[in-house]
Amino acid sequence: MDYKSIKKFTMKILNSLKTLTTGNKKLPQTASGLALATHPQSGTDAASHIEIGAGSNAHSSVGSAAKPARMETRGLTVMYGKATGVHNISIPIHTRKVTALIGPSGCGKTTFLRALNRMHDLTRIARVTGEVLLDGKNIYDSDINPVLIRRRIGMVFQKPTPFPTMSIFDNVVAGLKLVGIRNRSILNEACEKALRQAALFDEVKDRLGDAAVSLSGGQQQRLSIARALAVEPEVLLMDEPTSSLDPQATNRIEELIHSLKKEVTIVIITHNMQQAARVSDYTAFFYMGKLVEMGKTKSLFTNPRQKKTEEYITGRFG
Amino acid sequence: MKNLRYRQYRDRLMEMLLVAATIIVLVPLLIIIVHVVVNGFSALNWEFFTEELGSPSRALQERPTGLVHTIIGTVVVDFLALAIAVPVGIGAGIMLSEYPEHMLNPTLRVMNDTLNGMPAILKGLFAFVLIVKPMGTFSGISGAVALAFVMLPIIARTTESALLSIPWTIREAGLAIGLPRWRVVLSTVIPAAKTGLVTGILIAFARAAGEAAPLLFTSFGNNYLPNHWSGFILEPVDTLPQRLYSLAISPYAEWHAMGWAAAILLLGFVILCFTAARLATRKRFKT
Ligand SMILES: Nc1ncnc2c1ncn2[C@@H]1O[C@H](COP(=O)(O)OP(=O)(O)O)[C@@H](O)[C@H]1O
Ligand SMILES: [Mg+2]
Repeated sequence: MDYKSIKKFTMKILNSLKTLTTGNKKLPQTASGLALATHPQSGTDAASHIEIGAGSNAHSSVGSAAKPARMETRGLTVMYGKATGVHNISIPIHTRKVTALIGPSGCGKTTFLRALNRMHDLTRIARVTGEVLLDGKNIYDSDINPVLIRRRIGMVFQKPTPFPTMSIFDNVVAGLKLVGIRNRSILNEACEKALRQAALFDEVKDRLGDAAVSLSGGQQQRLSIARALAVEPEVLLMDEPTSSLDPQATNRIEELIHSLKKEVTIVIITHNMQQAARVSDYTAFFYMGKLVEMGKTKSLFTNPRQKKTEEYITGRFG
Repeated sequence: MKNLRYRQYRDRLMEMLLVAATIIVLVPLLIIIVHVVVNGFSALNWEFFTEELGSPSRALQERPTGLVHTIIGTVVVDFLALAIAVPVGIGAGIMLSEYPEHMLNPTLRVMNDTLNGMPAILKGLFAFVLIVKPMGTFSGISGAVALAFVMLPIIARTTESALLSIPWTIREAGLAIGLPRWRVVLSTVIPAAKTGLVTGILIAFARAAGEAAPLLFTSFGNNYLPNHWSGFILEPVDTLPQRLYSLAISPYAEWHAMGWAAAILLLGFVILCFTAARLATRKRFKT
């Protein structure tokens, strides 16, 4: 065995170890990559990690208040094996605005959204190329820890996803508790704040110890949102958050989005054109894995530049 | 009309066939249990649980004799095996279910299935080479290792399916709030799959507790209690399935009766495990 093959073998092992702990598929094939693999929290990542984990004063200072993140995608392409999920998407995600993604089923909205916080890392056949820039830095760069990225870019799913064995309280603070914040008063405070933001606090304040699964569907979805907000993300991705809810619960979540955008940048997928028009500042229309057009919501809906967009928003297909 | 009558008749016939199949399954089991209990009950006296076996002359001269060393040995060896197999088996199960994209996953799956299908006696042979040879003596620990190889693939497989029964979205939700993957598995997936995990462990335990083959050249067997408790780990140790076998092939009627009694214990032990497993799964549907 020569030096090269030994090094290659070592990289392979380190790679597999790193995949186990972070879900990070790629690792640079360089010497500095070795250092990163053994000390995954080195460099700039360490700074943000400490900020999050340090406890009382740090906790309140994390998040978007100080310095909102700027986000954009450049030539973002996601392939599922040989099939294209989305192709060559370059759009800005406007800071502290709501961006709606619309388009017919299967056009790649979810695929695009999941690329924004590296959720595709877990799908074996998915391959992401192009860039997602967060404050000018590509989140797919090899020195980026996807776990820390997901802390800054939260996600809410189509169906509510309460952790089944946890109480309401534990669900909300899961993201804080499980990285080592144990101080009860900090957790209490964070829990109340997040539940208030998600407009759920008054309904559950007397039963925080109850099982999260005992809540109604709409409440569970707001709990999922509260849980995502508790770690104070700078960006919140929402994949059809109201599609399984009744009109009243939908209404509450739309109000919630409206008040949240003062602090958080939001990207929301919706099937419902009225909803997109109501809640969003910008709208991007996807069709067959490609971006057809993106613009201010008002102008896109009143004055679409592309014929396809017009056909879709007037309900001629989709 | 005729058609309807015919269909009712066919329905009835089907039902009868199914009942017959059930009886065919149940009858041998019942016969075995009744036979074992009838033959062994007389040997189940106080001494059976308090005395060691000793040489055949004890039984022949109606001096007190029993299987206390076998009962303790079984508990020690089985639980040692469990202590080895549970962490490794659960770890492998987590790998199988939670890291499907990992490059070692397919290899692990093939190896686990191979291990599962491998005859138990080969596992004994393996433990012999691995432990008995270097140690220079048969021992409880080598028997435990052999049994751990019986439990391992079962635990890995049941853990995998228990974890897979938890919706994938739960994991993504965990990742989306910035939890590392192992954290998500430990704090959200495993607690949710707990009853399934316990069931799998109990099934693996019951299965291994009934194995004699892997123990024949590992823990080997012993007619006496050790002088020191560590003898249960480091010296040849008696276990119920292997003792049952030795008693059965001995030429003494008295020992045959004790063999039946040992069979009652073994059966009771295994039935207890499976009942516990059933109860554990039943709970899942209540919540
Ligand atoms: N895990 C996957 N494996 C393979 N193909 C997928 C996967 N997820 C989505 N796709 C495909 O990618 C395309 C886009 O899907 P998706 O992003 O879910 O669309 P939308 O959310 O707009 O309905 C579809 O053709 C779909 O079949
Ligand atoms: Mg979708």
